[in-house]
Amino acid sequence: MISRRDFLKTGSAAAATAAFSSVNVLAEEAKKPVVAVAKGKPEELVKKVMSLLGGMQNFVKKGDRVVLKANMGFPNPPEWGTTTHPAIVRATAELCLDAGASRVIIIDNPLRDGKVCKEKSGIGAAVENMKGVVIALLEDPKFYQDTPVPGGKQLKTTAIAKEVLRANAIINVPTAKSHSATGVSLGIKNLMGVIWDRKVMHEQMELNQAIADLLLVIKPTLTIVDCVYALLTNGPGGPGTTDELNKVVASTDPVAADSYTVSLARWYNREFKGAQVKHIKNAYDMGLGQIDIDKMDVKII
Amino acid sequence: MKLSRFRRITQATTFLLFIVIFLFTQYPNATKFPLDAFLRLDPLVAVVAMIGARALITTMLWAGILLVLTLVVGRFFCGYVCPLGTLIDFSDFAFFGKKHKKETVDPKPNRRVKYFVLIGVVAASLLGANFLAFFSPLSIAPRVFTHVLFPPLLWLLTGTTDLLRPLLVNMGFDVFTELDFGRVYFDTGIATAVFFAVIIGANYFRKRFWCRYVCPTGAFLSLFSRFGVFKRKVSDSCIDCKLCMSKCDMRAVDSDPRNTILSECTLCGDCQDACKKGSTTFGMAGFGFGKLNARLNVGRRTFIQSTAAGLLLAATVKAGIQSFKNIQGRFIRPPGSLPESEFLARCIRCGECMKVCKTNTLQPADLETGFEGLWTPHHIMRHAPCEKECNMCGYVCPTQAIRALPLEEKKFVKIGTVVIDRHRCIAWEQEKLCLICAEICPFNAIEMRIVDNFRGMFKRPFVVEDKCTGCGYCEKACPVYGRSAIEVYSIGEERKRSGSYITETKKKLREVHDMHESTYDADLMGSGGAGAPSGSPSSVVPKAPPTSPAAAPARPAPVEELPKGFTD
Repeated sequence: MISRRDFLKTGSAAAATAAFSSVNVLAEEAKKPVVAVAKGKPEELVKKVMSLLGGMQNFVKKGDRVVLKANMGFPNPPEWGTTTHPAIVRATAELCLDAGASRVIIIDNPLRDGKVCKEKSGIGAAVENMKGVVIALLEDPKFYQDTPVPGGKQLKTTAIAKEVLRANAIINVPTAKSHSATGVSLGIKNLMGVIWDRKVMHEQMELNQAIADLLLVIKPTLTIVDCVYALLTNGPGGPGTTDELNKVVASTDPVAADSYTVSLARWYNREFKGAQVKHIKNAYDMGLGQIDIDKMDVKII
Repeated sequence: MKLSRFRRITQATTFLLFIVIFLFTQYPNATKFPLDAFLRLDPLVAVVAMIGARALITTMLWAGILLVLTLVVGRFFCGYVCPLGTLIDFSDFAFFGKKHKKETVDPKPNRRVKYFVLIGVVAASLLGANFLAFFSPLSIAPRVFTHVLFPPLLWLLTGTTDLLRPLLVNMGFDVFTELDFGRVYFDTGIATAVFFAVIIGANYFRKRFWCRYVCPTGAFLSLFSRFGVFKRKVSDSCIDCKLCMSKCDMRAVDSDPRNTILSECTLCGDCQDACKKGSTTFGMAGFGFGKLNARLNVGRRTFIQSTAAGLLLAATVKAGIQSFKNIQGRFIRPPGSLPESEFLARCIRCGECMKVCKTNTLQPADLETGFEGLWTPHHIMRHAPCEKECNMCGYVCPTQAIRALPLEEKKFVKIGTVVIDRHRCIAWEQEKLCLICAEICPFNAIEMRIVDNFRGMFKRPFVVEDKCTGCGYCEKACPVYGRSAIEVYSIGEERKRSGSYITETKKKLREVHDMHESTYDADLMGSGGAGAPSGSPSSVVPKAPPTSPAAAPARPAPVEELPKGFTD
C-alpha cells in the first residue's frame, strides 16, 4: 500500500531528478575516470602508463608506506598468467621508491605455500636487493585486524592485513586472469588477497556481492592491471590459454580499470563487457566506480 | 690436551653439527649437502633395514665408515659423536648432577642385555619388522628433536617476535613487518617425550644407563671396538686404588684396574683424570685383542632365547591386521614411499621427513595402523597439503623408505585420490558459489560443471580422478566446517619400488588444460548457473531458489509403478 505521504515523496523526488538530470550529465562528463593503457615491453609498461596518469608522485608522497598488492598466490611461472609479472611488480616498486616512498611492502595471502610461491613466481628474485622493498606473505591471522565494513551488503566485517590498514597508499597490481567462480579475476577480486578469511565469503555469503563489498573498506589508490599474459581460460590456477597482450591498464577507479580490462581480451573465447561480470557490476551498482567504457577517459599509449 | 677435554670439545662440536644440520633440514635444499649424512652413520640401521627389506640400500653403505673407524679406533662413537649420548650426558649434568643414586657394584651380567636387544632386533628384521625406532640413537635423537624440542623452540621464537613486533616496527626495524618463524604441530609428540624422559630418568640409577645396558647400536659397535689400536694403558705405578673404576661412566674398568673391557670403553678419558698417580694413559697399543676382549657372555641358550623373542615379537606385530589393510583408506604415505611392507622394514621413524616437510602435512602416526605404524610418516591433509613443488622428504630419508625423487618425478606420483562428499559440499548441497577446490587444485583435477539436478541448475565440482594426485590442497582449503567435503583416500595410490612414475598417458592428460573452455554459457560471469538471457541485468539469476518449489522447472510427477503382474 502506498500512502499519500510516500506518493508525494516519490513524486517530488522524481520531479527533482528530471529537473536536474541535465546537470548530472554535465557533472558526470567532468569527472570521467581516466583509464590509461600502455603497450610494450613488460619492463617499460608501468613507467609508460604512469606518464599518462601524471607520474607516480601524484599518488605516492615522500615518506609514504606503500602497500603493493601483487598476486603471488600460485607457484607458477609468469608466462602462465596466474601471478603478477615480476617485471611489473619490480617497475611499480621502483617508481614508488623514486616518488619518495619510505617502504614498499608487497603483500599477498597466497593460496599455495608462500615460500614456494615467492620463489616460483619470480617475484622474490625480481625485488631481491631492492632497498626498502619487502615481500610479506601473510599466512597467519595475527597479521590481520578485524575491521567493520560499513554499508556492506554481504560482508559486514572482515579481517584486513594490518599493513594495508596502516599504509599511506595502496597500489593494486593484479594479473588479468579468468576465474572459475567469478568469471574473471582482476583488481577488485585481487583484494581478496589482503584479507584473512576468504572461506566465509564462499560459504556464507553471495560471493560476487561480498567481493564488491571489499571495495568499501579497501580503497586502492591506484589499480594497475598486468595484462602482459592474460590467462583466458582455466583460471585462476592455470595452465590455460594465455594471450600475450603486453599491456597494462591503470586507473584510480578500480571498477573502471577492471571493466576496461574485461573488454581487452576474449575471455573463454567470447566477447564480454565489464557489466557482464557480476562482481564488477555489483561494485558499479554500489557507486564505487564507472563501468561504462563510453563514460571513461581512455588514454592509450 | 687431556683426552677428556678433547672429548668434550669433539662431543660439543659434533652435537652442534647435528643441530645445525637439523635446522638446515628444510625446504629448499639450496646447498645440495646430504642432509641425512649424520643419520646414515648407524651401521645397525644399515643391517636391520637391509635384512628387513631384502635389498641393498646403497645410501646406507656410508655407515661402513663408522664400522671401519670403530675397528681402528674403538667405540669412540658413543663418547664423541652420538647425539643421544650427548643429550644423556647433558641432561645427566643438568638434572641429576651430584644427586645420583649411589652406585654400588655394577652387576656385569646386566650389560649383556644390550646384546640380547641386538640379537632380538636383528632377528625381528628377518620377518621384516623394524624395531629400531625404540633403540637406535640415530632414530631417537632426531625424533626427539623434531617432535619434542623443535616445536616449542619455534613457538618461543614466534611468540617473542609477535610480542616485540609492534615495538620494533615502530622503531624502524622493518624486517619485523613480515618476520615470522611460524609454527609446527606434531601428533603424538608426547609419546616421544615420555619415551625420551624414561631414557633420561634411568640415568638416576646408573650413569649412561641407556648406553650401558640397552643400546643395541653400542652393542653392535662393541663387537668391533675390541680390535682397536687406540687403547687405555695402565703403567706399573698403579696402586690399585680403583678410583678410575668409580669414575668410569661405562664401567669399562675391570676389577683389576689394569685391565680394560675394550668392548665397553668409549675412550672418554675420565679414568685418566681420576688417576692420582698418572698411571693411566691412552695411546697406540697395537692392533689386536686386549686382555679382556671377548667376554661377550652371550651363551647359546640366551642367544636362542633372544632370537626367539625377537621373532615372536615381530610375528605378533606383523599379525596385526591394521598394518597392511589400511582399513580406513585414509592413511596416506608420502610421495615416493616404497610398497608398505618394505616401507615399514626400512623406516626407522627418525622423523626427518616430518622436520623437512614444507607444509607440516607429514605427521607421525599413532596406533591407527597398528603398533607397527607408530611414528611412521603420513599425511594429515586437513591440517596441511603436500606441496607440488617440494620433494624434500625423499631427499632426507636415510634408509630411502621414501625414495629421493627428482621434482619432476615427484609431481607425477599419485598418493591417493580425492572423493567429494556431495552431501557436505556447499556447491552441491547449498548452491553456494564455491569452487575453492577447483581454484586451488595444482593439477586441474577438479572440474566445475553445470549440473541440473533436483535442486536446480548450478555449477558443481567433479573430480577428474586420473589427474588427481591426492596432494590434498582441496581437502585443506575446503571451507566446510570440520571434516572436509572433499577428502583424500588411498584409492589409486602408487608405490613403486623402482622406475619412473612418469608415463605418457599421465603426461598427455596434463597437457589437456582447456577443459573449462565451455564453462561460460551464461552471459553473466560469476552467476554460477547457466542460460541467463543476455542483455538485461535484472534477469540474471537463472536458478530457482530452493525454497520456492513453484519456480523450479516443472517436472513430471513420479508415476508410481505397480510391481509386474499387478493391475489397478
